[in-house]
Amino acid sequence: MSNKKKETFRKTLTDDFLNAIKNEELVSGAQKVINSAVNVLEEEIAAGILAAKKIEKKILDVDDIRNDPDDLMNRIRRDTHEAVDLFLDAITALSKQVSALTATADKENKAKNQPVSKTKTEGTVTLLKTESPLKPGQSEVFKFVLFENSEQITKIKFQKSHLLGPNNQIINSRALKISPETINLKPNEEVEISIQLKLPKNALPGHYNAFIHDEDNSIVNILLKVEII
Amino acid sequence: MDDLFMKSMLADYSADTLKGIHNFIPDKEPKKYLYDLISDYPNRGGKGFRPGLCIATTVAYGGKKEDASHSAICLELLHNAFLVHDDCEDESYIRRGKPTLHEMTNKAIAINLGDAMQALALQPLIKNQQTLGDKVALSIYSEIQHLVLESVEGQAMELGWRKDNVCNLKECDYLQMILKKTCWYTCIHPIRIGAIIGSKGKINPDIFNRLGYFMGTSFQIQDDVLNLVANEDKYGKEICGDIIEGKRTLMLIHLLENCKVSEFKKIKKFLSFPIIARKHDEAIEILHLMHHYESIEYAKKISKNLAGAALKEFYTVFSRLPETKDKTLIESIILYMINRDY
Repeated sequence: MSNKKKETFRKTLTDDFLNAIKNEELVSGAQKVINSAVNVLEEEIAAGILAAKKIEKKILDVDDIRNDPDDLMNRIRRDTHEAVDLFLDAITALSKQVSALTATADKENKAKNQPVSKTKTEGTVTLLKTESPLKPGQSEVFKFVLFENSEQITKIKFQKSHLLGPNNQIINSRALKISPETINLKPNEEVEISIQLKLPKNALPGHYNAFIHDEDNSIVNILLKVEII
Repeated sequence: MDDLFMKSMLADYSADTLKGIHNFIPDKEPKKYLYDLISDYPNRGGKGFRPGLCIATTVAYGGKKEDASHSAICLELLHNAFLVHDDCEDESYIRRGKPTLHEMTNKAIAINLGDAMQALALQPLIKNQQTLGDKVALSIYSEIQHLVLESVEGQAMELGWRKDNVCNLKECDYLQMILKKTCWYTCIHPIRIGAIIGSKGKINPDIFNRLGYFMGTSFQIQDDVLNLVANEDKYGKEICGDIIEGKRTLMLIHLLENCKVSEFKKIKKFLSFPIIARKHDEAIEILHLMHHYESIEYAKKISKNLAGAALKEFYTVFSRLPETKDKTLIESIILYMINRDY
């Protein structure tokens, strides 16, 4: 049977059936049962969900956990630390990869005698975060110090990413001002770096992260974490 | 798709599943009263409804039929385990044309066998991990766990009604009991599991609940009607067995709601005796009353309407899928229910 014919056959059969159930005698009895069946199904599913929640409550004993705020806070701290550690590990791995690529490019493009500087932050990611959540339109200044512990001059030129938030929300990197943006770090010199964040007034709530690093090498890696409420 | 082709497709899927069941039976002792008996009911040949629905939905959703084989084996093993236990609980004599397992052996052996079948049914679910991955395998495990719980809850409801000789049941009580006892494990979960496998876990299985419920209820009512009107050789169970067992079918509930007070009392008294003390003649008398009050005709109509509601749900959920034999198989099962003239 061709598809078209099959479709017509089906439609006729369904139409016949639907016409048949319009018959008052059937509607009064059978349709009532179908409606009743739908209600039974929905009630049963709701009861199932409720029962599952009760079991979960018994297993987790949410009230008991809430009654011990110290234990709860410890758990939250532990979980948060683990989450941050995981995130930092991922960023470190990423920056190491970028570093390897940069090193290769350096070998090919730069003069052999160009110095590679070392600072306290080598190979790690520095986390900067606000003390408390910020509101849209609010500003915050983050400060940190760089120092050169080698005998060479190191040029650092900062690059910044957009602030990435929940559901792919982005706050443009223009919201971040790094001062100074470029420095020539002399041996044993300390320089204070300031990052000013000015949130747009239409910023949406959530946790945002921006990554700031040295354009030429992977020595300086800063993760900026901001919560907007 | 004509009925013969539909039945042959179901038979093919059933045969594949039966082969799989044999592979999961341990080749060790004790054989005589355990492992040799496990394949007894499956070998007798059922309709293959559950594996059929599971495999057909898998293929309709883009999967391979092999992807569903372990889940189909689990469903069929569980179904047969339920039958072994049901037959003990209902004190049935015949199953698929032969003596029930507890009649062949004894109740203790049959109960133990049913337990073993349930345990063996878990093994294919573990195999799912290798073939379908952790996420989908865990999801199917969760479906099976719900299936078993709902089925035993439904069975407990009906056994409780029989124990307490409850005779004032309404249709909604029946619908709730049948949802739990039959629909989840016969239709809703086989379809849900098939769709989970076929879509690689991307589908929301809740969209199949109504379809499976309407199909399952229609299927159960038709099976109960057959118990009253079918030819015993073809049907494979004793005719009027459900009346003797005191099974709360839609026909019995309709009869109790519509008969005279004197008839109601008589039926209630009949149901108050232990199964062994219920006489066949009295069961036939109740069957006549069911004909007289058109309880059987009423149940047939309800069943057809539920099958119609299932067809509507089928078109709602499956219409966006490409036309395949397996999609048509599910549609044909529903159309078969609508057109059935017993």
